[in-house]
Amino acid sequence: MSAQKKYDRLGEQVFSKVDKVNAELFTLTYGSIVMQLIKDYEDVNEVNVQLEKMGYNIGLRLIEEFLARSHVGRCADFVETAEVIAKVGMKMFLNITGTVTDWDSEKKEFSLILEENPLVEFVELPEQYNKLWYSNILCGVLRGALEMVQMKVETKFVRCVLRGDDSSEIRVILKEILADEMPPGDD
Amino acid sequence: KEKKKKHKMIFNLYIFNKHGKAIYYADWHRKKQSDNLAEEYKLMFGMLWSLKNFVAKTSPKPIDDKTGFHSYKTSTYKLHFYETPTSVKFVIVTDPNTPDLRDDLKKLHRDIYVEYAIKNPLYKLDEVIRCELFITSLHKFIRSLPSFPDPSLLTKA
Repeated sequence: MSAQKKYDRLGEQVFSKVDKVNAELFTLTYGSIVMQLIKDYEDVNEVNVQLEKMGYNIGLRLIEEFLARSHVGRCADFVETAEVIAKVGMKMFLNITGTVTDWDSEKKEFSLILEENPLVEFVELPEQYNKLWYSNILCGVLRGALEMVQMKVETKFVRCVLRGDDSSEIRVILKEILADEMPPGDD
Repeated sequence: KEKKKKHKMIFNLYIFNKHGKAIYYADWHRKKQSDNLAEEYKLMFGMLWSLKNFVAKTSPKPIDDKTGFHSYKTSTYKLHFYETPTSVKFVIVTDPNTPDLRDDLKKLHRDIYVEYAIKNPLYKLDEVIRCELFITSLHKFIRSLPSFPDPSLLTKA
C-alpha cells in the first residue's frame, strides 16, 4: 500500500532529524517512575490510572512537536491517522514501528501491535504486579495527542509481552470527532 | 535619481489558542494603538473564523478549512496567517509589500512555541505565555526577518 510506504519513509526521515537520547537511560528512567508509582499508590490498578494520566499530559504537548517536525497535515480518515501513529509517531519518539490491524467494520477501532518496546527492555513483571499494564503511559500519550487534533479516543492495552504475550497490543477506539470551538458570542 | 525605498514594516503578532484566547501578543511600530486590546483580540479571532469558513465555502476546489486561508492585503497592511492542526493560530501583520510569511510563522511554531512554551513544564497550556526565553527568542526571531525595518531607516516620531 502506497500510504504505508510513504509513512515508513517519512518516519525514517523524521527520526534521523530529531535529537536522540540513550535508550538505556530512557528505559531505566521509565522503570524508576513505575517503581515509584507502585510505591506511592500500592494498588496496581491505581498505578495504571496514574501512568495513563501522565501519558495524557505528555500527549497534549508531544503532538505539537510531532506536527512541527513531521509536517504531517490533516489525515483523510482514521485509517490514515492510525498509519501515521504507527509509522511516523512511534518511529519519531520511540524508534519503533507499530503495525495496524484488526479494524472493525466501521473503521472506528484498530489495534496497534508493538513487536518491540524500549520501555520494557530488561523488565520482568513479578507475579504480584501481574495486573499492571507497564507501558500504560503510551495509552495516555495517544489519548492526549489525538484529543489535541480533535479526536476523542479510548486507548487500552490488551496484550503485553511482560505478561507472557508474544507482542504488545493497544486497542484504539474512536469515540467522537470534536468540532472546532466557535468564537465566543458578543457579550 | 533616488529610488523610493519600499517601507518594510512588521506591526504586530498574535497567537491564539484553540479556544480563541490570545496567548501572546506583541507589537512594533504601531502608529494607531488600540484602545481596547481585549476587544481587538475578539474581533481578530472572530474575523479569522469567519474568513476561514468563507474561504473554504467559496473555493472553486475543495480545500481544508485550516490551511486554506493564508493572507489578505489592504492598502495599509498585509495579514499573514498560519493555523496548526491543533488549532493554534499564528497571525502577523506587516506592510502590504512583505512577501508571504507563512513559512516564518511555521518556523515560529516549531522553533519557538514548541521549544520554549510547550516544552516548558512551568508553562500551563492554553494560558498567556510569559516565559522569558520564549519572549526573547520570539523578538529576536522577528527582528531577524528581512521584513523587519532597519532601525536606522526609521524617522523619529
